[in-house]
Amino acid sequence: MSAGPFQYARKTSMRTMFLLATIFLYAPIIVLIVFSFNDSRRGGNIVWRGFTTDYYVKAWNNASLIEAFANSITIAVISTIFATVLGAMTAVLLWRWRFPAKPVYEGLVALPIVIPEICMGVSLAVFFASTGLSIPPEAPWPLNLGNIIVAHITFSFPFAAMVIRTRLQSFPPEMAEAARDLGATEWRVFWDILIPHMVPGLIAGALLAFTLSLDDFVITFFTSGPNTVTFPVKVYSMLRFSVTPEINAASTVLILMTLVMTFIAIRLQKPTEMAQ
Amino acid sequence: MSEPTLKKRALRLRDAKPIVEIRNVTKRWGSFLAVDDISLDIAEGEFFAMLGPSGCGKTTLLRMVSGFETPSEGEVRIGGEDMTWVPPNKRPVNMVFQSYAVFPHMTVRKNVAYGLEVDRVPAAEIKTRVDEALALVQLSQFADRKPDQLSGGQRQRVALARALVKKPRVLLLDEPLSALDAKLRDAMRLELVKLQQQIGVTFIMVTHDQDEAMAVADRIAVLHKGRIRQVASPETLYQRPADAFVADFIGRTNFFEPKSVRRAGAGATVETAETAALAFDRVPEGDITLSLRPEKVRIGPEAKGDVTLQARLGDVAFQGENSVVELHLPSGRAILAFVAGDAAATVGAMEEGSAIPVAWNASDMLPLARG
Repeated sequence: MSAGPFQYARKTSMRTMFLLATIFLYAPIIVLIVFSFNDSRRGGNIVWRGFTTDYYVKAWNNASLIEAFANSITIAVISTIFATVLGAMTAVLLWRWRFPAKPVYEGLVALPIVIPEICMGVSLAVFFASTGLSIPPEAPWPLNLGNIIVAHITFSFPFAAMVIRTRLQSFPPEMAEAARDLGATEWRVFWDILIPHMVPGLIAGALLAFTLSLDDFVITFFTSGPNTVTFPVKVYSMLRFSVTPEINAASTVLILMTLVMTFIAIRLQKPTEMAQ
Repeated sequence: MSEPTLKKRALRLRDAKPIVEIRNVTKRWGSFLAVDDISLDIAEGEFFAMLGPSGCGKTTLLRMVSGFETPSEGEVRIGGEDMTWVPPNKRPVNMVFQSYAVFPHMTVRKNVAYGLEVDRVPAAEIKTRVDEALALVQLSQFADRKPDQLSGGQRQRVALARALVKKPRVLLLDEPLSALDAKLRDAMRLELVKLQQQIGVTFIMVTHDQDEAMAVADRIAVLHKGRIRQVASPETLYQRPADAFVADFIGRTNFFEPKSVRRAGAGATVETAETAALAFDRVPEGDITLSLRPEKVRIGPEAKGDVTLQARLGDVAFQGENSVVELHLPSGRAILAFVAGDAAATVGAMEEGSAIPVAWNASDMLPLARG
């Protein structure tokens, strides 16, 4: 092949760059996964001592780890539902209507995306402590997760709103007009025509919110109590006491879950682009 | 359709009471005048076309009938009632959109049923009416398909069935054929005419394609810059255009610029660079031009007429049943002529630049106000 847009890919320097970038990005993850199968007592041990799946069993039998995992999933499911609904409403509002100070509002909605997580964590911790709006840690499960759920909704709904708004951009206005013309009220147009069009965006937004919530550490750390440990927080605390391949195993499971969901999100976005 | 039935139809339509009355309607977007004080009556059962170049206001006018726009001034009456401020979902009109706007997540059947479902029509009645509508547009066997499994022409039929199933008093069509390829477009034109005659509903079609409007409509309104230039049957528009804009927009024509105009009462004697002084009985006020349709130009050794000239042959474009011939007149102006049959063969055999006699009748030249 002669001149093409990707001809630089044939250059050795470019190939080396690509190779190095890939190694830096993925070597730690691959090592983590590989050593989750290492038959060694210490997770920090980089000597291969043979293959085992014992640590997956161990992780499974670790009650406090499983509890943390259940907390994480519960928080992720509930916060995802709220974040998606809130995100969808925000997206429709920004897409459909013009109102005074709209750019200001748009900026405010996008702000949690750029605010450093540590600041959000501190501000939420202070908010819960100072306003007394916080749910006491001794409340029955899953009510005691309330603070974390509120915090997760706060930081994840702008992401959902962004994704859903992008989808709305491709909505042909004649669709709504056609439904109106056939006798539908604005309300029916919203439910019968607009929502079905939004579905891929809603799913993608929800998956994004779910993964963000599932693996969030910083904000969760600031808003969780001793009874409300989530999976990432638990892994961190385990790491401080003893490093065992159990952590590797648990992390591998988390990586897999996030990967699968991201893959689904990408797949759901693609057909819509082709339809345009 | 034979000639007498055409006449009968025209007479019937003339006597029918108007279904859509547009009264002094103006639409402004800021300082831009999209529609400028238009009044128009459309008869019950008529196939009416609004024709004009893009930006002439035809779509805005249609959207004011459908209810998607409201006039800045004036009144829109449908079926004798003032509908100016009635929202689109409460008007007895339905629309076929340029992009069809078929709902992609619903099957053909669901698409067609949608308008009846929102009206809470009983399920059994919905079924029979949807079946009827699908049969009308020959889509019965595609009822359970999704729109992405249909061709452009089929999607258009879904849009038609979806609008017609509601039994509208008026069907509005916004450039309905512009997204189809040329062959299909010609076939759909005929089908639209047949369909309209079969169900007798008033059709109002917006188009920028004059061939399309001429082929389907009983009457055509020619719009330009938000104003109506002429409302007439296709024949009248072609043979007696109201002004130079209409003559130029409908079909092809040659314009001759007058050198001098000597008015006498309603008539005038007009002289151009190509023709000696010619007398016309009726000449419009103001700035005028003379229009001569290409098929009125006779060429060849036997050509006879009030005006005879020696021209030089320019390009000849063979188009099947006739040829379009470019003729360079002694004044330096080039005109077009349509020739058919033997004359076309003669011209085709001649070389470019050779001398050729050209003639036409003064009565075929129309003095028109400049648009």
